[in-house]
Amino acid sequence: MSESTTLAQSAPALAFATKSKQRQLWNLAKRHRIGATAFGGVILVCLIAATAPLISPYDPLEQDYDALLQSPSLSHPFGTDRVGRDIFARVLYGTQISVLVGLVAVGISIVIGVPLGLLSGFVGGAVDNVIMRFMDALIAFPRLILALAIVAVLSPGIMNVMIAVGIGSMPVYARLMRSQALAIRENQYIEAAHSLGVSNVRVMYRHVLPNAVSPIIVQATLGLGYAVLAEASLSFLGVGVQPPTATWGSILNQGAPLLEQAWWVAFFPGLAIFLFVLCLNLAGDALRDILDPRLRGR
Amino acid sequence: MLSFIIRRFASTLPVLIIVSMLTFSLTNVLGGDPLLALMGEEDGRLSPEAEAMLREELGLNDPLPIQYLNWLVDAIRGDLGTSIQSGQPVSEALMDRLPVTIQLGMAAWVFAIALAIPLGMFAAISRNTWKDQAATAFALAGVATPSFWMGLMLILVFAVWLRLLPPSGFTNLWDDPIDGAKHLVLPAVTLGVNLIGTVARQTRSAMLEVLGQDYIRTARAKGLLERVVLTKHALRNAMLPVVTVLGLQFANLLGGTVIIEQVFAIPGVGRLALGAVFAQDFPVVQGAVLLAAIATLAGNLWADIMYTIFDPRIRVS
Repeated sequence: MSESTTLAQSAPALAFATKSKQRQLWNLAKRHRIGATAFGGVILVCLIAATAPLISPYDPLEQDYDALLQSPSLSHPFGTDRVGRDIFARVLYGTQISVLVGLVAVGISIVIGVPLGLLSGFVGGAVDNVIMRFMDALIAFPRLILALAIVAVLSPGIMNVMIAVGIGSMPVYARLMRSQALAIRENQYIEAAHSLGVSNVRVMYRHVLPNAVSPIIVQATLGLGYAVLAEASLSFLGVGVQPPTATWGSILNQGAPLLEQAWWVAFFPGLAIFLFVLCLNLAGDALRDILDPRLRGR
Repeated sequence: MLSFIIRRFASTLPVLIIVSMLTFSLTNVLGGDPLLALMGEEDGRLSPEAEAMLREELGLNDPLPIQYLNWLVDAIRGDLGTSIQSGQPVSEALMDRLPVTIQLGMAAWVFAIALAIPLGMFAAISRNTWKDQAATAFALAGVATPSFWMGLMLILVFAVWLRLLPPSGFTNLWDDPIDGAKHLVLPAVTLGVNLIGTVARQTRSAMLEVLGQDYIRTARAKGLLERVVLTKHALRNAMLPVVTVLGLQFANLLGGTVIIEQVFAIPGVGRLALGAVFAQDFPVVQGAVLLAAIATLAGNLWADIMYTIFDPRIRVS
C-alpha cells in the first residue's frame, strides 16, 4: 500500500477522532454545567489578564484630581479612589498580578512538593520518614502566618510573595503525591517494570508520576484559588505587592479607611477576588468529579 | 485512653523539634545578621570593639547548632527573647494578647459549628434537590469569600449603614459580657464563614456515606423516628471525618485571626505579629510563629483524641 493511500485513509479517521473528542467534551460540559461555566470564568479572567492594557479604559496609575472619590458611573463603572484613579482599570490590571502570583506560587509548590512526595512514597523507609516529618512540621505553621513571616524576613515584593505562598502550600502536594505513589507502586505493571530491570528513577518518572497526574491537576486548580486569596491577603495587610502597583488586595487596603465615604473602592476588588476564587474552586470540583468518578456527588 | 494520649503526644515530639528548628532558622538564618536585626538603626553607631563584645555576649560567635540549642533551652523555659520595639519580654507580650485571640477563635469556632453541621446534614438529607444545591452553593461561597472583604462589607452594612454593631475594637467578655459579645459578633462571623464552607461540605459528604449503610436501614426498619435515626445513628458516625477537618482547620482559623484582628482593630496575637513584621521585630515574629505552630499541633492532637472518643476501635488498634 502506497504512502499516499495511507494518508488519504487516515485523514477521515483523524477527522472522525477529532469530532468524537469534541462531542465527548460537549457531553462533559453538558453534564457539568456549573463546572463548565466556572471553567469559562477562569478562562475569561486569564484573557482579561493577558489583554488588560488593550481593554482598560484608563491607565491604572493615572491620577485625576477632577474626579476624586467619584461613585460608579458610565465614565467610571467602578468609581474612582481618593487620588482619582479609575477602580475599573485598577481591577483589570490587578487581574494580571493575581493570575501571575497564583500560577507561579502553585508552580513552586508543585516543582518542590511533587518530587519530594514521589521520592517519599516510592522509596519509603527512612527517606519517607525524614521527608514526611519535615512536611508535618511545615504544615503545622498556619499557611498565612508562615507566608507573613517569610515575607517579613525576605522583604515584601511580588517575587517573595510567590515564594512565601508556594512554600506554604508545598506540603499539600508532597502528601498528595506520596499517597498516590504508595498506591501506584503496588500495581503489577510496576512489578513488571522492576522485573525487566528498569531503574527506580525511571519507574518513578515514567510509570508512577504519569499515573498520579490527575489528582495533582485537581489540587493545582484548587490551590490556585488559595494562592490568589493568599496574595490578596498579604497585599491587603500591606506586606505583599507594594504600591503603586495595582493588585486586588492593595486596592482593598486603600479602600478600607474610605469605607464610609466611598464603599466602591473596597467593594469591587473584593468581588473580583470572590468570583475568581469561586470559579477556580467550582472548576476544581468539576475536574475532580470528571477525573475521579467515585467522588461524584460527594 | 491515657496511654493513647501519651503515645500520640510522643509521636508529635519529633515534629515539634523540626518546628522549632524551622522557626529558629527562619529569622536567624534567612533573616541575615541577628545583631543587625536586634540593633536596627543603632547598629551603625557601634564601634567594632563594642560590636565584637556584643556578639560574644549574645553568643552570636557560637556555631549555629549551639545557638539553636541555647535558644531552644530558653524557649522551653518560656524565654523567647525581648521585643526590639517595646523592650517587653516576647512571651509576656504574647500571653497578654492570647486571651483576646482565644475569645475570637472560640466565638468563630462555635458560630461555624452551630451553622455548618446542620447545613451539611440538611444538604445530605435533601440530596440532589434545589435545597441541596443552595446549601452547597452557600458553603462554596463561604470558602471563596476573602475574609478581609467580608469583614469590611459587614462593617459597612451593620456598623456604618444600620448602626447595629460596633465597627471595631474589643471588650473582654468577663469585663462586660454584653459589650464584649457585641464587639465579637462581626469578627467571629467573618472568621467563621470560611470554616462553615469546609465543615458543611465535609458533613454532607460524611452523612451521605453513613446514610447508605445497612444499620441506618435497620434503624428505619425498626420504626425509629427519622430524627432519632439522623441524630443518634447517622450524625454520631458521620462526625469522625468532620472532627478531623475541624482539627485540621485550626491552623487556617489561626491564620485568619491575623487578618480579622487587623480589619476590626482587635489587640490580639495576630495584630501583634503583623506590627512586628512591619517593625522588623524578629523576636516577636519568631515567638508568634512558634506559638501558632504549637497551637496547630495541639489542634491536631485534640482532633485525634476526639476521634478515639467517637470511635473506640481506633484506640484499640
